[in-house]
Amino acid sequence: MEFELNLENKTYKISIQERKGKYLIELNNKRKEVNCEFISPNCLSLDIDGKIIKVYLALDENKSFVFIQGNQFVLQEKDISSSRTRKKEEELGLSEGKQIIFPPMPGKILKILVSEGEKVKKKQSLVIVEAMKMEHEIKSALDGVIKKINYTEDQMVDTESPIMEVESEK
Amino acid sequence: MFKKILIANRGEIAVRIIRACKEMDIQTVAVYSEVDKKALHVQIADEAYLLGPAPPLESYLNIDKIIELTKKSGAEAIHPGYGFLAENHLFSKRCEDEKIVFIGPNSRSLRLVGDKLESRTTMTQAKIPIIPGMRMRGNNLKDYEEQAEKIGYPVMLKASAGGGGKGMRTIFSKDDLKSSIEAGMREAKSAFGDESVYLEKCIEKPRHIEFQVLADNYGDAVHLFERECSIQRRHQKIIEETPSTALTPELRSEMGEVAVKVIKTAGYNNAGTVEFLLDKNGKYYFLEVNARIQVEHPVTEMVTGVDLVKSQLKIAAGEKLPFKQEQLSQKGHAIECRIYAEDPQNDFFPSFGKILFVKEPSGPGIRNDSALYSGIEVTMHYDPILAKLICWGENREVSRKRSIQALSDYAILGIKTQIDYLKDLLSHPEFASGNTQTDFIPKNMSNWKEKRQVENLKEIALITGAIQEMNKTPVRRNMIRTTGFDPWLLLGRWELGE
Repeated sequence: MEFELNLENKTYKISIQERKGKYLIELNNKRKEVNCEFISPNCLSLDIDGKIIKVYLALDENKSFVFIQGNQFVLQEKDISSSRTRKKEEELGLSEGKQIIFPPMPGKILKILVSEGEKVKKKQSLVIVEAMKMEHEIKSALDGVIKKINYTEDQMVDTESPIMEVESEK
Repeated sequence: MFKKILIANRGEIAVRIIRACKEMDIQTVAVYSEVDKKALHVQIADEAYLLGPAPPLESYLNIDKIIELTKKSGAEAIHPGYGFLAENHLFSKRCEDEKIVFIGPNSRSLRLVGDKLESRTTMTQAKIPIIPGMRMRGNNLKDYEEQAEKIGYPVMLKASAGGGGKGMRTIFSKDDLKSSIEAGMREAKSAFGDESVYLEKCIEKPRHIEFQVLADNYGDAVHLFERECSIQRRHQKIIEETPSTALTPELRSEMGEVAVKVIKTAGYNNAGTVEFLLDKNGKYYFLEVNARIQVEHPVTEMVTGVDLVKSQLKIAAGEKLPFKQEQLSQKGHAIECRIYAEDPQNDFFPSFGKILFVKEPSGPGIRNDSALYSGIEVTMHYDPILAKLICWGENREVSRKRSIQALSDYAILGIKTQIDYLKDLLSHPEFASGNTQTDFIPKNMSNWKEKRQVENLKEIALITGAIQEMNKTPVRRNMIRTTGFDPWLLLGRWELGE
């Protein structure tokens, strides 16, 4: 079987075959034979070239967390990781002369500092979101006009909530 | 001693208090908000009652409900932990009126030290050195503008009812004054229910040194030496240690005596902390009294051998201090690292979600105060502190190295934490040499990026990922989405016996 896994913004092709309880793995043009055993659902013991390595792992919906010798890695299957991330969306938005404001983390809209139609300057504060009792200001990335505000104060938002749109001045 | 107490808090501190009670054969009553139903403090207490919805005002700050549950459960005393109601003199007074013991200072001294402005005045009268600045809140923006000019920029904005960095800001110029004061007042209001803020002089490159104090109900008080808490991010302490590398034995005993004097001046009882700023010339200023058990109390416990939570319970129950100042000493060195649900790669934004798996470090000299377990949900409603890792060693270097090693052994999978950041901070040559001022982080860590040499480990991670993928058929993939990954499901058909 072949997989494409995303790790730290790089995609790796990896092929794997199971044979008599062993895994034959091809990665980075190298072949490896790996013995492995699940010690518990979250702990895997790998035997790679005679070296025993204990790995902790956990899965959520689309990510796999792997902890090896004090280092954590987050893996994603390629089809999921290639879907538009918020950062890309922001860049996309900016290139078209507008910015969609998403909160950096889930929280409550504490204060909206602008109104629709208002002119704003780059780095001007637009909205304050509160999470875990700390306030976070979100600033405009461009000089422009507030085109649309989709939420009101006291509403709960998450990182996928487009709070407002800023359109650049022509 | 009490037979039963209620713990009006959550998270690691509630767990810490409940454990102390168990060792003293005191029954414990936990309270919780709707999102904390599965929290560890609820599981380990003898009884647990629902307070209300998640927002603190409806749960952990709901005085009426907490008093009602205390009476209903028959608890004789309330331990408030830190944060929430811990330094609320109205709550302490209410307990006194209701004949419930508040495990903390009396309401009169709590009101005095809780009002930073009032305590500044009282301490000046007692000839305790304080930081120059306002002794009253401003009535309007103009007051603050005038005071800021008088003190000289940069100035510190502080909440009169404050603590824990909430509402606190450094203001560099008049342009930032208005927005800083407004934001500070809002934060102070939401965190403490009191929006009074004041300005004081910004001491350059200070160290944050605090003294732990215990005072009984009969006017006797001792200090349990200092903690250095200079390593702060946005006024939030992240690493604390004792002893401080900055104190000579003479300065230590002088500041300790001043700390005891502060406590006696305030008519304070129970456990408390006297905070000082120490400037680069060795001059110290009284900052405030933290009238509660502190987050960083374990480092003091590790070097003095005194259990501060048990001491709090004994003092509240009317016992006298069991030791004199000269019987107390410091042995070895302890460092505490606060582990937060934050993403250091993304400007330390809070990280929420389910912790899929936790493995805590262990070994000689390692103490872990946490309320974590695999499967716990971290919500956005409360402080993002997850755990405190405290490492004791016979000297600072042993304690530092042990901390780095223990952090490397700490696996928290599913959400982001700043463990890697803490490791790099402890490894920094300036930290290793004890050169710790409050500007340590802006000076040494501002361009921090994860910089690990892990090409070979990446391969292992990918191999692990591939083995996982291989073991996911479409049906199994579905199962993972709904129930979580379980390799036992991959075993296929099997039979018992031969």
